[in-house]
Amino acid sequence: MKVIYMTHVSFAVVLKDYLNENNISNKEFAARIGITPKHLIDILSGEVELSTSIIQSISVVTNIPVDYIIKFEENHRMENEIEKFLNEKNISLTQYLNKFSYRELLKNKWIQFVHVDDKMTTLMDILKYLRVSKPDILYKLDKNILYKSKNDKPELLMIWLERCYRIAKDQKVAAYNKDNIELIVDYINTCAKNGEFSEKDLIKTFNKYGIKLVIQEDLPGSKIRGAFKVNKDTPSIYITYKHKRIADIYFALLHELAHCKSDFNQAKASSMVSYDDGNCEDKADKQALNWMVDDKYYQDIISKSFYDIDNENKYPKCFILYRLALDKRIEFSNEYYQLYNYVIDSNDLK
Amino acid sequence: MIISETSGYKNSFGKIKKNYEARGKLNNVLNHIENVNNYNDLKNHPMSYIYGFEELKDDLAGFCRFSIDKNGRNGKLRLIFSYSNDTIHLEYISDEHYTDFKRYKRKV
Repeated sequence: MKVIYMTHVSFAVVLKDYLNENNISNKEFAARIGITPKHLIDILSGEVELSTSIIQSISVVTNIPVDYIIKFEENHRMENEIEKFLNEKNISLTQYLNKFSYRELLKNKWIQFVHVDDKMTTLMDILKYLRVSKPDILYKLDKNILYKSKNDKPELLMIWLERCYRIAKDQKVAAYNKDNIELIVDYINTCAKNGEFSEKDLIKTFNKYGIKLVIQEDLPGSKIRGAFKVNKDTPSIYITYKHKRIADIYFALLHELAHCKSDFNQAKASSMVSYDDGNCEDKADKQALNWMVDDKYYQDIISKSFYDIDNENKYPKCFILYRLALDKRIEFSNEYYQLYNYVIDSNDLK
Repeated sequence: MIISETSGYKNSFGKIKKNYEARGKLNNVLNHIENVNNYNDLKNHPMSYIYGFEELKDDLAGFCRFSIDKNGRNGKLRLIFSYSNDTIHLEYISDEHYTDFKRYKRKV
């Protein structure tokens, strides 16, 4: 049996039940809360909204907590805004929920859903998680995102950014100093040279040098690779596990670090998002690749007729192979590529 | 509070599918449950009293109920629910003074 969706009613509906069951007349109740009977009738019929002072008076007279009344009003308002939005866009509730990959959200528990069997409540929980009071606001916030992809799905992007923001909020970081970026690059290169990847240690190092770092799986259907933003002079880097090979993840990190170096001020106003859809952000890519393997050194390698990767000591082997594969000088199936640019063990990923 | 719907609740929903008044009342009760903070608040809330909240006893100990409608097909309609881990589990809609719910529990 399919249960009919619940409707989020205004507090006026509940107040009517209260007055009826307690046999209180409108005249008496209006007098007690200090308004005219006409005003109360307008409230009960939904003609006027409840003001803060009336909510407080109602709370005193009925002993119903203020926050309970406010929740009713907020939920009712939000549901109306959602219905208005869905009508304007000519889209069903289920179709709109699917844009957020809501079934995946039910599984991954990023959001605590109040009533998973009710789709309207589920959508409201998603919007509350995104800290917006109505759907339209999401698309205004989306305008602040740079480097958009033609494949972008703003709903998936906003959920992922919010998830990363909430994780980053709890990180304690030292004061940021741009000069420390090179120290982070050195750290990454040392780890890559040793064939090491530890998410926990990476976060610790980034935090030590004043940068928040979040590595977070994205939702199915999104092509997000990473993002860079600055909140109150503290930079934050978010990357996904889009690619699970060691050099690929380090490249994604270095790419965002390149944004940190050159786009710090711009990122105060906007989030910069990178996608895995072939659209290059040349400047950040070039910087990241140069950090991985110095350009001059790389040019020397590719100019040789023979290059013995096993004897490479100066740069991480996985980085050299990554650049060669990117330039299509070797196949991804190349045995050395597979050996040195290995797939990271899921135990090293949080 | 968080609400979860059991299969018993979903299967018994048919009893009120065509009862507009009961569905409206149930809707108000669900809104009420969603907007309270915890079980203690639910127990002591003025609106819980209005909606006929009661903790059941004897062989139905561990379950609670809200009244939905006086005029069900077979009698008063009641929403039976249980509580655990900050979640209200909607168990059943009863219109036979809990006999139908007891019968359902024996089968499950």
